[in-house]
Amino acid sequence: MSEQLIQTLKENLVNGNIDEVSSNVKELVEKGVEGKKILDEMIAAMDIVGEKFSKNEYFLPDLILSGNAMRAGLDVILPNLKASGASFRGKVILGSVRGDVHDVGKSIVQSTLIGAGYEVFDLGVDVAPDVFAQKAIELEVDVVGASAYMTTTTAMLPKVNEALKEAGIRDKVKFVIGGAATSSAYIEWAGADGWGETAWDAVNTINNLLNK
Amino acid sequence: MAGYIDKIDELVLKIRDRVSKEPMTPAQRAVKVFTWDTSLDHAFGGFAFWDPRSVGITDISTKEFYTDPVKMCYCQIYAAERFEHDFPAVFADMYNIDIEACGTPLEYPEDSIPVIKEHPIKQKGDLAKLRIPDPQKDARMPYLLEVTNLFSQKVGDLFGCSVATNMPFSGVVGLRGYQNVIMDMRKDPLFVHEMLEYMLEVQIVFNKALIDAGGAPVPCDAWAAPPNITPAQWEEFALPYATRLMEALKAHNGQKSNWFLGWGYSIVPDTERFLRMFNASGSGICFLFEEDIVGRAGYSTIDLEKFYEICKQQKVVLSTSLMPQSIFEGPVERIEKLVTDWHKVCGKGGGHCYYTTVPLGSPPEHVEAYVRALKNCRYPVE
Repeated sequence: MSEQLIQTLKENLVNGNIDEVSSNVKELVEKGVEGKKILDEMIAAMDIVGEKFSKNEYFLPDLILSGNAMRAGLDVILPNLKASGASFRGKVILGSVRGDVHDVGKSIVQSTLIGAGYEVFDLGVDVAPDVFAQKAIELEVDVVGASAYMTTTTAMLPKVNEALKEAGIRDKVKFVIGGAATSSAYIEWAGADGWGETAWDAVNTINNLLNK
Repeated sequence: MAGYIDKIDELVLKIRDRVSKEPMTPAQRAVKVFTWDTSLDHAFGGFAFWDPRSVGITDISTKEFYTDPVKMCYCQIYAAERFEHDFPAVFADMYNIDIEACGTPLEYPEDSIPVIKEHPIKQKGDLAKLRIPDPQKDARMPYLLEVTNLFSQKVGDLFGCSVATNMPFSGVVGLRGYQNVIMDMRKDPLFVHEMLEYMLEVQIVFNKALIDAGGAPVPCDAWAAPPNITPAQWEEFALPYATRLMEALKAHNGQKSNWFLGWGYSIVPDTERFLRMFNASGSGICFLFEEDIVGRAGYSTIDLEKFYEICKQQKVVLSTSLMPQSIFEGPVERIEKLVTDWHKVCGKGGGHCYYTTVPLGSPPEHVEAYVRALKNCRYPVE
């Protein structure tokens, strides 16, 4: 019975049916299915979404709907996971830089990182450089991720690096960048440690930087 | 302010002196491109930039660039004199100006493009509260009209006066927020159509005023470019409204508008069908970006020769466009090679031009390489 429900959950995730995913996860938790098992199945479903996107069968709206559905499901199982003492691979904060209100790519990276086992804190959009540093200290994170969607806002990326230095934590955290306006050539310019072209690439970059 | 008007006049004198020694003006080159006449001297192209520092201007802040019409005009003309490209135009923050006049609050940081503080349509009932803005009075619509008027007066005979504006779908994204629009398209598509009808009316009024001020609108629509929306969503929510806007503007001035869609041709399931639909929309130009040509940043590749042939059949000018990242990264040799390779494929039958954006931090020699490559691409193509 649970296997059939898990299959339904995965289909709903792939199709971006947010309310249904939330309801499916609640039902599975009530049936006593372990949070870790549910999470693994949801990650498997998100892999299908990612594969469809990489084959150009899915577009950003599909990713957003599935990503939102993933988050709705995670909202249900995260307390369950934390209570069971599940450990995370690392702590990451993400934010769109000052002047940039684009949220989509960052949200996809957030969902993908959570799916990959990271504890992720979303600082939102239009985040000032010093806020990245303050939150990194407060939350004791391993990775600071900054996103710039527009060519005009890439100027803020080196400022985030400067803020981390001024706060005295630059050698304690990895600084990664991403966003549509960036490329690998921006790593050195921004003083970053890594860059992710896609959400899945971001996970690999962070895994490599943390030796996970 | 007389200071910057004087500076503009000095730059214009220099440009006129240079252009007088060339076989034709950039505006004459543009006419030849749009009439598929290959008797022009070299490839036609230019660039946009979104921060004065991108082209080496340090005495004007980014905020002034987006709020002071004389300084904005100065920056565009400065870049034309400094880099000698063919296509200076009125490139302001086109996705903000009309929606700000509709009631979207913006923030103006000193060193970045104006930022949307919040989207005014939070719930369905908010749409009915919005009115059609008056281009002569509301928010920065008068700013863009003034830049257009000034640019047109000073250099319109040399370069024409293209003005970047907004398309209905991208305007609705500004009013409602991208993620909300995505949800609306699934849960309440009729509401999306209602917002699009409103935005269309706003943009017809505004673009007509810009035409009357001497401008040639280039309505931009990056939010409608796949993968931002699916091809099916594009057909339902972007194409019909873009077509209607361009029809209304053509009825006003007898000319085609140039729909800047830009990306996604390589990732749609049927590139040819998508392109033919785009070209039939009434746009005078089809922008095709490097991402789709060479397969960068998650895009696939298209067959450039076939793509160009379809544009030629449908008499829609093809603009091949370098990614801003390429101008940032270089090297010079790669920039020159891209320009030259595309000229060999698309330069033979005319109707081809170039575009790019110069991002902040780009070495000036990369911009120079781009313009030099354009000038080295001669006609006829061997």
